[in-house]
Amino acid sequence: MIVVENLTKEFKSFKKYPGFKGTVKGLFTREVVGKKAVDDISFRIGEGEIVGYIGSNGAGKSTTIKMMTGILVPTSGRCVVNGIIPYEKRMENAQQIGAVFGQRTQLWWDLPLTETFSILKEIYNVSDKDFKNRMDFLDQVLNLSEFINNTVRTLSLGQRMRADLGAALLHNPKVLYLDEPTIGLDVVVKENIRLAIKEINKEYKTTVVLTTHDLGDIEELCNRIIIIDAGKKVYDGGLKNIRDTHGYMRIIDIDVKNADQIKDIDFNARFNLLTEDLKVNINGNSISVNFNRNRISASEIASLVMENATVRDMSIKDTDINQIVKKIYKNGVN
Amino acid sequence: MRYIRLYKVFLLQYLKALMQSKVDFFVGLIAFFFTQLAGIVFLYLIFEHIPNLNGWSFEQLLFIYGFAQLPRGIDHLFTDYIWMLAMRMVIRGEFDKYLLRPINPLFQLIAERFQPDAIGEILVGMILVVTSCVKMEIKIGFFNSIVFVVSIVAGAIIYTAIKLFFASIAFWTKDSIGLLQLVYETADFAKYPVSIYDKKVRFILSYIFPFAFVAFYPASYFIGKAKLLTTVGIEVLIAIITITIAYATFNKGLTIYESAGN
Amino acid sequence: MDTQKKSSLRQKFKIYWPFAVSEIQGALSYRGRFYFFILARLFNIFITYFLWKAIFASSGQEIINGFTFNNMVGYIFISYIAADLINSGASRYIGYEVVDGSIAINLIRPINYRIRLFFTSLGNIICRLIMPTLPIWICYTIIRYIYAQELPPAFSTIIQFFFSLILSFLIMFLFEFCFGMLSFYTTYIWGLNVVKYSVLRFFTGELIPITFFPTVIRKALRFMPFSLMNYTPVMVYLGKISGAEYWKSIANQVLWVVLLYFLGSFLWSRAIKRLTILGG
Repeated sequence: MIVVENLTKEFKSFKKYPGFKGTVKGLFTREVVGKKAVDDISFRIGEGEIVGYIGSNGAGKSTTIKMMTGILVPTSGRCVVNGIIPYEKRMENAQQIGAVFGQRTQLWWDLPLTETFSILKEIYNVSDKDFKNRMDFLDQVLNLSEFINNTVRTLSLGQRMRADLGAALLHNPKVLYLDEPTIGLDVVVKENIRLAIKEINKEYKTTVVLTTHDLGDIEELCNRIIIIDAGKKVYDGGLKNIRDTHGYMRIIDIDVKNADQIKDIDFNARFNLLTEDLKVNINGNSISVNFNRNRISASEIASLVMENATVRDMSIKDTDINQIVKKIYKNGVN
Repeated sequence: MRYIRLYKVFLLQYLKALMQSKVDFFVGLIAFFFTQLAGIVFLYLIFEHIPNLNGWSFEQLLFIYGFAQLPRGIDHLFTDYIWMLAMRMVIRGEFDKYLLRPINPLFQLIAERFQPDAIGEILVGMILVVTSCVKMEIKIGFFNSIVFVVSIVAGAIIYTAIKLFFASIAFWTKDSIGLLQLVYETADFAKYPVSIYDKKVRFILSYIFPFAFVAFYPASYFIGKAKLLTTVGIEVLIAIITITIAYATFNKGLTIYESAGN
Repeated sequence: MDTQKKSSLRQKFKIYWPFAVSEIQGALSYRGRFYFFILARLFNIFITYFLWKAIFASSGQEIINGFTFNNMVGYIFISYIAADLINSGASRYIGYEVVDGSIAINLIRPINYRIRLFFTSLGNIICRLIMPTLPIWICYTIIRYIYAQELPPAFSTIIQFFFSLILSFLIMFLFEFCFGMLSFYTTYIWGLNVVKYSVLRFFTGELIPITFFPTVIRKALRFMPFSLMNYTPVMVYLGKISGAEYWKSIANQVLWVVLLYFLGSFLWSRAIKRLTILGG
């Protein structure tokens, strides 16, 4: 479905000088700086796959997606989506793809949501019959009818995201690009969006490429992930492998009434672990423990704390995807 | 055909939004009315002291002045959103959405906004043209009314072309609002007879930024001071050439568009 | 007592000066727009120049309404320069901040909104002075000397001009502030700004000297602050207002500064009440 070969994109920019003097200096000089946002990336994605495209901020995720959608023209290399080179035949490509860029809506801001759909119907030349079927399906998975008569401006972030997703799917695209589809949403809405994406993928065999910072998105949706860093591909493969080898660090945060006794405990000696597998930070009455879940369980740490202090609050956090990416980049996979 | 239908859809949606703020519409109308009025009052005050300006009477000047408003107003009415391309669409990456839809991006850009404020300009232009025609006892027959329409359409196209060309520069420079504004200011020269300017300015207005062909030359044909071919004829030719260059530049710009932001 | 007042003034300056600096930096970073802006202004001056040239040629007179052609050229250039240096566009700032809601943040901060706005405007004006205005003035002076053997006015006249110009700036700023209060009542401040701009261009004398107006309008203008914004300093520069008449004009300007100051305070307190009632 998607073939990407040696794709490269270089941006040129003018050097900026800091401070007030710098601004004045900038008035008279121009220094061009080139930066490769995407550097020689290749991969193939088959029909019906859901692929997570992962990397830290500025790694080149959005740039790649924008080349695949036809917004940007690559500096060198090429990509083909369903037999079409997107940046050469934009309009044909546009007819077969859908895209949602999380922070930027494509809905008509000042009009009721239903109007957006009637405009899109015209734009994508959707027949009356298809339109009806499609709207029924979208309503079923995204519950659009709840707010379809509201002005877009007044929608909540979660509603807007659902609407944007619906708008991208109205014309039954072959490929769906999602750039941070769950950013800023609460847990329940996130879950709904993920379910909807799964449903669409199952029902219509829509190929989905998504970028995200949310490990949950990846775990629930993707059967495959591609990781890039500084414009280069560093990993391409299944998710399980990554999680087992890299996603084992967890953080447990515990708030206690009085941490005095805890301060005297040497956690590493107690559990016989090195600091790379267990690290304790105490700040006032909050204790933060970074631990390897393959070596020690959260309950062991928690019970040790509970023996020595009264616990007020406790929470466990997953490792951030950025940390995994960073680690992979440092150690190297494959 | 599909595009005409689409434009109707866009226009209808726009008017719906507009109806929610009728006051805005009237304030905008009055605003442009006032802007135009200032120039006319200026001429009026001047003519207290002179019998004619370089051989042009007050009525003739009003005709040129009013005639100049018409193509400008029509261009303003339909293609005002091109300014946004020059101002911020490239910097903010707002142009992305036009490239994601299976319709011509320029069409989408233009269809994004319908600028009813321009009706004020067109109204002032019409009033001036009609009253000055009556005063000068110019009769416009069937043939000339067609020439009149052709000239105004060609003039509007020249305005659009110049606007589109300089706005497209933004694809290279990120924003080109200053440049565009500068070029647009030169359009103001054409509200007066070009004969009042010196040779260099006249050359620029006729051949570099051909605003003189948008207003002064065609207007002088209708007043009876010039021939058809050397005025409206050249105007149509310029319209075709400029819009071709502008559209090619726009398309070239799309290929180097660097979508900013995330 | 006196020293205490002085130091508090210096402290105030320290608080508000950064607003001017950030304005200057902002303007400089848009350098592309900057150069074009200057050129665009020059174009406009040239249109007016040619227009007047044709007008004088067609009139067959040496002097129109007390202006020789050379006087008029001086008037065109200096009134453009003056217009650049007095109009800070403060009402537009207020409009933006009301629309995007940032006015509320400004109200929370422990600063006086009008003083802050004043420093923003000041930064704006300093920019224009350095960039388009001063170079234009120097070019103008040199060209006039070469082509018309015309010398710039005496140093004392220039000082007098600047003094009057500063008062013009204050009048304009305070007027703009009052006008900006409209943004609290209508969402369409932009359109109103366009109207205001074209009306001001006329009544301040930027477009045409006020002596060209019919007597009735001239009499009416005497009771309004508009001619004091541009016409007065320009006439001072051209040496057409001097001696006792100069000081009378200055007194008039000061009077309007005071009046508009109090009007602004009054309107501001009203607008704020409205804002708090509506919840911003």
